[in-house]
Amino acid sequence: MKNWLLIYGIVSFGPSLAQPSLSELLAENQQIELVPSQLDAMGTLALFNEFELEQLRAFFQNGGVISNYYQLQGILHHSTTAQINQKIPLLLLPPSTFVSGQSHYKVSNYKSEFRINYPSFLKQNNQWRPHLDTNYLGPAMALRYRWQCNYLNWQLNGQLAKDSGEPIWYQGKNGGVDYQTFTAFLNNDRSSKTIKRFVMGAYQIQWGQGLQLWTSRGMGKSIDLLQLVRNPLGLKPYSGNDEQRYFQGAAICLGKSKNELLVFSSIRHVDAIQKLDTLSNEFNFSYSSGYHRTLSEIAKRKQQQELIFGIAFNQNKELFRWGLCILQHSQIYSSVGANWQWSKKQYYFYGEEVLSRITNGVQPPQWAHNFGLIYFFDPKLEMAAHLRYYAPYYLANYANPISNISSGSNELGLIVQLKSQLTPNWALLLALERAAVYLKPNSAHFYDVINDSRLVLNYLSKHKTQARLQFSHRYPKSNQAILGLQFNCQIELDQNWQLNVVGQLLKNTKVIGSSRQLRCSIRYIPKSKGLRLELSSGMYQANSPLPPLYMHAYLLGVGTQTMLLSGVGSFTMGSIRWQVSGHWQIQFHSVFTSNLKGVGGAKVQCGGMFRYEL
Amino acid sequence: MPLRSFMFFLILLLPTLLLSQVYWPLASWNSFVALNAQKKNVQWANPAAFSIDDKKGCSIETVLPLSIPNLLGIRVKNHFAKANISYHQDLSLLLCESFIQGGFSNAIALAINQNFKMGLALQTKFLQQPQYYGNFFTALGRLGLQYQMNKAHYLSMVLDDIAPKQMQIIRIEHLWCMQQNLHFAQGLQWCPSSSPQIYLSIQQSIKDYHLQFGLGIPMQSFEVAVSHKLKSSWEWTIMPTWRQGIGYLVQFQLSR
Repeated sequence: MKNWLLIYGIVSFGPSLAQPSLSELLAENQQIELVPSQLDAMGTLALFNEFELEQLRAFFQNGGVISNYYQLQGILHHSTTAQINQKIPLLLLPPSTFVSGQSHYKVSNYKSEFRINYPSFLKQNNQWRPHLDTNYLGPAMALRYRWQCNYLNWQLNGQLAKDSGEPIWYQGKNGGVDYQTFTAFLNNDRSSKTIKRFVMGAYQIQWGQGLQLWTSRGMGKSIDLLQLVRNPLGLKPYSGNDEQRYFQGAAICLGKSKNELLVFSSIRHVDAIQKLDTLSNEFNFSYSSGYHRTLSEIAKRKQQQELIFGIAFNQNKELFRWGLCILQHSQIYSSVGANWQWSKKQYYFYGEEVLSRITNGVQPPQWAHNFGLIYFFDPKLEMAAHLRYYAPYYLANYANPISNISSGSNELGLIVQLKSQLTPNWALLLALERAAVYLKPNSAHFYDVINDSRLVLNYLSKHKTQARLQFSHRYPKSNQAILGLQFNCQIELDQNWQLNVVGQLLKNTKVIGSSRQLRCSIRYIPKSKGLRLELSSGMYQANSPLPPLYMHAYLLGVGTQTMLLSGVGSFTMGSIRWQVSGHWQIQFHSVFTSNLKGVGGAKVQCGGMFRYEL
Repeated sequence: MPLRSFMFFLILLLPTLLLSQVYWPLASWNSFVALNAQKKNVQWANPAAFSIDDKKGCSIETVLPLSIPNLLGIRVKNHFAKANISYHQDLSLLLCESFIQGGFSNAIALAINQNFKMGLALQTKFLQQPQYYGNFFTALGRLGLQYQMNKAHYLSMVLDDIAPKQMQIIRIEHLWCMQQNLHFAQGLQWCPSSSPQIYLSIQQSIKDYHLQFGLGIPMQSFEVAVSHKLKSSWEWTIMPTWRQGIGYLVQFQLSR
């Protein structure tokens, strides 16, 4: 009863207690235009500091779009409105005027890069030997060549790549280089033309909340409540590493006033298990590792032609957006979806509904729902709730919803988050989630209820230091509870030097002891000089039956290095990047791992990159 | 402000308190509370830790483990600094009836700016034990950083014993200068083959005397050190120490 009274109290009196000031209302009702390509310029103008830029980059990488005042405030963890108000006049959306195409691309006009990863070396019997798997049919080097050219509003890009162990050239049906893409992309976003975007070749689409169509892979659930909202970027050219999740064909985005119409089609050969190998009526797309090294992997390469057609419409009003999408995926399934985002005073609503039907299936059409609400009680206090339901046989091959299972089906879940800015430097975040996975016949998934709680304490000084301490408790009904503790501290030692310390502790409640890791990295990243480098070193203890750990470390210029840490060992990574002249850039990196206890032993892997920019 | 910074470091080290479970056998006999340099050069522990006030100096120290008969350790250290660069070298010998263990280390540090120093050391170690295992020789690297966050707070990090065998140790230490003559330090050191170790230390200076008390937690080691600076610019230090698994040690140091 008390709880109901409390909820009633919050719902009834919350809005009246949290009336915004006049300046806030003004800012709220004007759209903010902040896009990823502007971030570097914002840094140069000292509008945002390094940490703020990093926060924004992470937000954009998750598909986020800054569209209003509160979002920006939430992301930058500012407790007072004064700092934001200083930036607001510079971020407000300018009136719609024709801007020449040349100004859109701030990047160089031509860029090409060649990356090579040498075969890894293993230490066996006190001798270093190259790691060569005799089952692999190709050379043990990973190669990638990528280029990009910009002219007026056009961008052309292409790439050729092969993974370690893959043949350089494939014979027979769908032969050629293992992975190749080419894209021609027209971007008229800043102009008044009807054709906003047009793409031929490889492209990506992000739509709605990711229930129906979101070709890029997501970053999972976030503790930051504003990042629960997926803000789609729509149609984008593609030149990424992922060999599976992209479209290939033609797409056009037409825009008039605040309305947009997107028409797209994709025809592509995708990896699949041959029909002879499966009893399933539906064609099996389950093979998606992207590797084609052995005979059996090559047998699955480009075995199925995938046809996708779709049409989508959306309307972007200042504080309300909605969209509809119809999708037909080969002869496998079709789906219809609607999504919306609505901002009203301190309330921010969003959601998506999709109905999917398997073409030859016996199941009735399956629903997927997604509802979210963010409520800004006060600039210092925010609350969010996110409800999801994915029917047991819901199918969407290019979806990327918030989910415990990557397929995004057969799940009911509720996330509640609370964020409080305790002081100008300290913020507290609480996230609670309860998710149920239903019993599904002929499936590896069984009925389970998962309770996940996380408490995060964030410290952020104005320019120098940030720290994050996270406690987590995950309790699946079918298994033992896992307690976690993680801290991350980043210190700007100097304008050029950065120190990062990360520690993690995981404990299974039924096993004595705990898994742990500690990693320190030092980074030299001057803004004006051509040399950049990073050294990162860490160690871990995760003996079975203790839970294994995962390490996700970003290595300068190379990307995120993910490792499963099991046993006892240590690792050292280094990267050096050198801008040789105005046009040439060279980079080398090396990753050294040593497992003292358990499988693996010592291993070293090196790679290089050569880039030319005009 | 200092209290807030202290709380920040307490939170940083809080998880590591939970990690600390068993004794980590230190290979070095020196006091481990020495990763941050204020007025004295401590590059033997952290290659980055030097002070421009301590331009040159040398020291000799001995260690005598009371519970291990016929064992004596000797270390000779020497350093000099010019502008924003400091060079340090030390030679150590552990003498026993059955073996000789020695090490020679060279460290160079660079002050990147007023608050941030960085250092690199190369160390060679040898073990001579002809009657049992023969001779053993190895070369190790060491990377150190020292950062002064503000007037009262220092932070250090050292990657120690970097070698192809990957037996490295990570050391992190925070020093809080509560008053001009009263300092508190907390630190963590971890080698992957054993559990992490936490330590706390408090140091006080009274005129020419310097007192230091250190404690490894949970109770794995403690140390008490007394130093006295003579008028002749020489300084002597005596430091009784107890360590789990080794027992009592007495260290004596003479430096200038």
